[in-house]
Amino acid sequence: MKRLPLQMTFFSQVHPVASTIYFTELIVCLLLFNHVIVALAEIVSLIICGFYYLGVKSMTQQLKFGGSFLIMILFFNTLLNQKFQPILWHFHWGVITYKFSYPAFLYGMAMAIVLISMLFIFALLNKILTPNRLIYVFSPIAPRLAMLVSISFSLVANFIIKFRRLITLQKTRNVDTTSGSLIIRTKKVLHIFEIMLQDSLASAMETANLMDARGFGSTKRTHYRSYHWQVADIFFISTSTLLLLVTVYIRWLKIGWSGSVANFTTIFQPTDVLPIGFLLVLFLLPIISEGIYRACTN
Amino acid sequence: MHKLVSIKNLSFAYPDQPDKVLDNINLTIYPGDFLMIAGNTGSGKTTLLNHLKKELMPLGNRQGQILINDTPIDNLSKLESAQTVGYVAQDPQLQPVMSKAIDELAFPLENIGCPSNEIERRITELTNFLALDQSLNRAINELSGGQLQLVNLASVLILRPKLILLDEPTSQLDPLTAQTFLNVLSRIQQELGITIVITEHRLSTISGLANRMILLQDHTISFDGSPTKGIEKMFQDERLRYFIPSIPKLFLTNHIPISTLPISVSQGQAAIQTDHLKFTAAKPKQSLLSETSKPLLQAKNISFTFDQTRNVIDHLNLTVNRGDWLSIIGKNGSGKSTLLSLLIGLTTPQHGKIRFENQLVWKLKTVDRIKKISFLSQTPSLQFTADSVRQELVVQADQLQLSDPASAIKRVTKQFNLTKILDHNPFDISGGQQQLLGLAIALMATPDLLILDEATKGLDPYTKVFIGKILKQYQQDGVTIVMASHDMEFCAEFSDHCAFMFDGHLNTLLSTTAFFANNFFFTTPINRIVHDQVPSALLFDDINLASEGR
Repeated sequence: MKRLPLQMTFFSQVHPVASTIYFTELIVCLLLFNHVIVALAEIVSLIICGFYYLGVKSMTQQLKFGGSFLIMILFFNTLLNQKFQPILWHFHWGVITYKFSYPAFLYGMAMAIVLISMLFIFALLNKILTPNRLIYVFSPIAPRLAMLVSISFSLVANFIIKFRRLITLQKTRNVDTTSGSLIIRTKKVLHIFEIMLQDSLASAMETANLMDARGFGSTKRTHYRSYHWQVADIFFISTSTLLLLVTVYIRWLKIGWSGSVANFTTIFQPTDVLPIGFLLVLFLLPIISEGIYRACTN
Repeated sequence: MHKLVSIKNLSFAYPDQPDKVLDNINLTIYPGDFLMIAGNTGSGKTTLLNHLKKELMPLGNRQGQILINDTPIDNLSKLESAQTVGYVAQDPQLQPVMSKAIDELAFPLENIGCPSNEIERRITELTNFLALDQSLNRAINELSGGQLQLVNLASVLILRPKLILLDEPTSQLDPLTAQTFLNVLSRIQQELGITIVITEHRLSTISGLANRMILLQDHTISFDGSPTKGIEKMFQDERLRYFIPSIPKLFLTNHIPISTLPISVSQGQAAIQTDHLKFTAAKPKQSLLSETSKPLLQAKNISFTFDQTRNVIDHLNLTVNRGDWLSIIGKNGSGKSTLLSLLIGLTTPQHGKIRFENQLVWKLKTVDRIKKISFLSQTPSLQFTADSVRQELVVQADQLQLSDPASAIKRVTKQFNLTKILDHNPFDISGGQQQLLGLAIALMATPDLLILDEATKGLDPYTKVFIGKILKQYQQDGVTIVMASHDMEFCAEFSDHCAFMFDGHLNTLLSTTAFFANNFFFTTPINRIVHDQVPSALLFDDINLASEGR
């Protein structure tokens, strides 16, 4: 099935302020619960959204990265939480003992999933809240900062392209970052950064002059992009805020949260169904709204 | 008549420099002028142009007066300056600051405080005028060089300035894209009455569009008049003669008496017909290529894709014989640079094999490869690695493990005129000098194969010929050259074979004469005007005047 272009989706047409509030709500929700099954519900919803909005290729790459990140966080969590029972496996080497306990595993799993979910949210945010939408949201608060953020987006993209070209072209000068020991490779990469800095400084000066030449700083800036609130925006943000308030109340009832690693003894507790239900609706709200938006087509 | 710009007794010297770059310049520019500034590299063209834009005025010792609309340039507010004088730089990549074309167009209007609806109106109007409406929502880094330069021009034009200054705006573009860009400029001048001031090395198209030309010699204006008369004046200077487009050069060299010097192809053809001029082929140049040369580099059925959606290189086959000079011609974005990157082993194709001296090129050790294959990218600064020009050469000699580094450094320093800039930072020298340094680094090894990506980009015509002659010498000494280029006349003059890059593969790999003689669009101006009489003629010295008819 051919994927709908991102700009044609309901989510990317939501008012920038509504999108910003929605993403903030998602981040808050991620921090409210720490049970594995709740975190799993959150990440599964985000993966569905990711496949829909970012595409299979991009999401598959993120999942691969997320997988290795998960293993790393799991390892460190089990390493740092050695005193809990039951122990599933242990390892002795001289005076060093490593205990792999079930609570530490579950806690590490929950933390890893929450962190990876956070990365997925930022990946979505990056696509939905484009630089000009970000400027629109943050300009009234900090106009210069918003402008700088927007310019940074473009400069970072150019920086990455240039860095890749440098890595390739410096091989013609025998600076090959893929060969040699780790120290030698690190030195080569640092040297390439140095070249990059020299080259970028020279061009940044010229770019700044050309910005001046086009009237930058001559008077108070205005904004081209103007966004108007639609009924759908209000419906979307009201629903999401209502769902957030409900989940905050559930959290207040101490559901879906364990205060100590020692309490991580089971993946599923019957009360977890409550936050899972509401969170699934909140995290999948963009997809649900897409359906309603399509259903309302004339 | 109202004066848009008035320069009186302007002299300028850069800090700590004893010599003046501009010496007693007097110039008046009238509304609606299309003025081109010609002159040698280093004659002060860009410095003069930058003096017309307050924000870009160089620091240094300045005397004299510059008035814009009868107001001293220093008294112009930032807002007035932005709305009166626009500036388009040489490198299209330097100007954009936003990520999308539409935001780049809105940027200057937001700077001057335009309300949202006015911005939208101006963008709609301008993008339709320049046929940019289809590119509006594209990311800046997805645009080709030509489209990007058009967006840069639009981003200046949207402020509705009285005067637009352009510093060699087409030097990074292929000839057809450059022609399109200059035609847009001509429309802007003719339909909107906006004054254009431009510096250019490629005078062939611009001379036909401009109504006025000034010539900078010895840091002052030595000529101010029509482009035709200006070119006649340039012919008197031995070095400036290289700058003259080939059609007027043909008429001036052969002393053909004619009322108006032809510049364009149509004018050249008309002059030949009217005066019944007859040309014969000059003695053909001797090819250095031996009939029995063996293959040095072979690419078999190679395919390469960046994003798995489209093959940039598609089942390409190529054999380069030892001692050959092959030029690969094609538009911006046709995949020439990608192909060169594959041929040198910097990138590995997904399919097919590339063999250099029967070894897979990407399996060669980096240190061995740089001794046998040298590469100059189209952005030489990305290959620099040291703090001074001298240090660049020392590092390269060291990497190549040369037995006598001092004499190699001395040789290339002399060959590429680098003596005066040995202690300069390679990132601070001019684009042309960076190109020369890049070549010097590439040729320190005396490689078997030299791969050049747009080696003449942005160079003035004199330096181009200078480089061409040096490369020819290296070819005679046994170096095989593969070059990607937009420069038809350079390819026609120096290469042995040419091929066209299109749709991911090379087609029509022919000897240079056969290649250009059979082309219709991608050929030299001389071939276009005398093709009926001497089909193999590519350059002005390929033909002799047989009779003047009258």
